[in-house]
Amino acid sequence: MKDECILSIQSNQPKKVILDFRCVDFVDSTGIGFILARYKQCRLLQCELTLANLSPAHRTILGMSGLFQLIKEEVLE
Amino acid sequence: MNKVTFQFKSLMENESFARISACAFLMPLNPNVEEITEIKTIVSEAVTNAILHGYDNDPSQMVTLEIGYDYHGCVTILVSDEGRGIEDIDLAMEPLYTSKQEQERSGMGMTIMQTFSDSFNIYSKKDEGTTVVIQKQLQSTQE
Repeated sequence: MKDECILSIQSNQPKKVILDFRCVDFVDSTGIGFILARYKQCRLLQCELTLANLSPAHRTILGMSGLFQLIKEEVLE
Repeated sequence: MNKVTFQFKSLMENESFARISACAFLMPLNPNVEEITEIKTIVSEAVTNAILHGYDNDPSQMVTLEIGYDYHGCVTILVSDEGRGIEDIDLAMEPLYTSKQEQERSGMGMTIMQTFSDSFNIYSKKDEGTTVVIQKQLQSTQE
């Protein structure tokens, strides 16, 4: 999934990437590493990266790294 | 007191087995949702460290996970490997420090384990291996 995501961003060069956590039931430091790496990838392509549908548990873990200072959260319909 | 020991190959696919088994074993204590998430995360981080850092992803090696609890809801988790060991534990404990930057690691594993546990200890010797010992008091079962 990681490689697919890297490739998809690289080949489509979108203006914006939203990582939707609706179906994600578990996040740990591996997830933080993945998000931060995609943030860097997007920044190089001048593309905005946001996170959506985070649960309170997701927010607790992700927040420990301080990544919300860099990456915005949004609510999807 | 109750206790269980698992031994599994150093393969990343066993990480989810480890965290799910740990929680299944603790079900008699009726942990709440938050406690379950925290224990899953602790186990995931410790097992990932053993596989990735202890053994450098060498699947011929074995990781040991030991979980015990008493009937006051005090849970003890031990994760050990016989891998390369940690040279500088203080450095490894620093938030955001990672020895594997190129693999998109966040360097948050130790911080997360520490945050979610009541007591957190690492015993490590170069080329002999690492054991992390974590204790966590479940509020839901505390008498």
